[in-house]
Amino acid sequence: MKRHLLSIMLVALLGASHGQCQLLTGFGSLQINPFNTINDFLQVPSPWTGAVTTNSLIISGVSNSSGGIYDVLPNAVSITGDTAYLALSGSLQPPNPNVNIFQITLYDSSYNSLTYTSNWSLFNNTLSTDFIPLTASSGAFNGTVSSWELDVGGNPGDTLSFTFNSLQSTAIPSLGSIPEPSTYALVAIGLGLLLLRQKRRKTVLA
Amino acid sequence: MNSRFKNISILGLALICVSAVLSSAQTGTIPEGYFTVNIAAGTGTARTLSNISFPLQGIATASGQMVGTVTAITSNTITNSNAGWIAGQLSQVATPYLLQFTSGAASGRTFLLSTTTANTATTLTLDSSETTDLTTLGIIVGTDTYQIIPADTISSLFGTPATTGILGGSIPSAADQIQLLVGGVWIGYYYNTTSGWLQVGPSIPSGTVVIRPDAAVLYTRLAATPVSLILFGRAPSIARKALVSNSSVTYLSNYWPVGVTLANSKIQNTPGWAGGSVSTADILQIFTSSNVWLQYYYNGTDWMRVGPPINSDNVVIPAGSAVIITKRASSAGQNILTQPLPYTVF
Repeated sequence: MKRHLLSIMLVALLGASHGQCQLLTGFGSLQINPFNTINDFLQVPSPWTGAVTTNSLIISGVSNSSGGIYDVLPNAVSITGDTAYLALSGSLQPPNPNVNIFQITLYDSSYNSLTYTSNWSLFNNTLSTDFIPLTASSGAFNGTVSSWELDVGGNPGDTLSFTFNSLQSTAIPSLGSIPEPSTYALVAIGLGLLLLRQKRRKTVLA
Repeated sequence: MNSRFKNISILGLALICVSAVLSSAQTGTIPEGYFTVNIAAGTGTARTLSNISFPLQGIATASGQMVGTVTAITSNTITNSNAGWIAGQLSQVATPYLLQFTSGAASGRTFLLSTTTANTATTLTLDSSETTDLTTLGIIVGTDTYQIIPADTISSLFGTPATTGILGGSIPSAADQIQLLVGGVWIGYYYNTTSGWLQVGPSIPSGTVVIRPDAAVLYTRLAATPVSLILFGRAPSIARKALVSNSSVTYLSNYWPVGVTLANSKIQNTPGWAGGSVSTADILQIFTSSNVWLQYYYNGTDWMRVGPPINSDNVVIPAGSAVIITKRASSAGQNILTQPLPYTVF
């Protein structure tokens, strides 16, 4: 019985861990309007160039003459966990921009917002996940993300090429990699072990 | 050197902070004093951008009438028969001057004086970069007035590493850099520790490059410490008329030592300004306190954010900063933006 309780606790812990990170957008081909021209569908307005693939948003351009990127989510996402950080998965293609700073802002339907500030230098040309701290807010954010925005801080002439793969809200950056399907796999393994133990016990008793 | 900046450490207590005086929106005399221009720290390896402008006018100390009445004009000269200027004194490459009309139809227009054609005791010639024909401006001879203002240059504003704390280097990548929009093209400059101010690329000596009052500077700081510079001078006391390109990009300073909202900037009233839909409207960019650019457009009634549809009439263009205007039209030439004083001088 004691061991059963231990397994149940393990499952509960994994469930809680998963709740800390919540996917906001995957940047893939199902996303609409990834740029700041309202109601465009998969358009890449000049001077940005790039494309949306099945699982990423690939962008190149000249940073401060390009404007930001504004995306209305197809379905609003209610954040059930913490909003202290965003976990941004992606990569930065060389050359690195001269000016480092960028920010991501989450909006609710009334445009109350949470703003997170980061540096391009945290990314490299291989896929990685970085945790971006909340740095500002405006209004009383209601917990549901309706749209998001990327703004950059570069010089005219600074080139900037990046790929975004996923954006998640998260609480504890020290957790490292974000639980993805692996979380569910671990839960399944835990349940499997539990069943195996039950089976072995029955076999021994028999 | 005609330096208007001093390191903050030598600031005297008797000086007046102009922005503080003008925050009351009314003042009995034209405030003179200082304005602090802040340049954000880099990291030592990565750069941080600052978007800066210079909202005080220098005070001319040359001989003769620095304020007076126009007694004759041609397409590119003005005469004041009573001026008493010293020949050539207002035409020095290292210390150039500006002429600003202060009354009449041309009030608020500012022109750079030539440093290749020397001034006489009574006549000033405009720089060849000035393409406006003065006789078309409705200037009334014998009535309309002018003032002469020292023109800022890269050297007078930014000095040297020893005088202001800027970071010089033997190559551009080792130094702080500034960028100016010159003729629609962004041009970079840095302080070479052997040769002084040079243009990035062709290494042309550039300390005497003029930074006009309507212009601004993108400063990318590499050094890991901020720089605070003190600009001395006089607050503008008349409405300004600035040139805005009909196509492409204009980098326009906030001319005043106080912040101005987008609605009060009157930029939307510039002849030829395209409002309406975000996809067709002209775009204005502001560099925020969190060091990113945000974009705005005028929808015909209000200023709005590009992206989230947020009313932005009350968004402030900070004092000592600038905006980047991108016009969608392709027509040649420039139009005149008239901006009223955001404070009252009586």
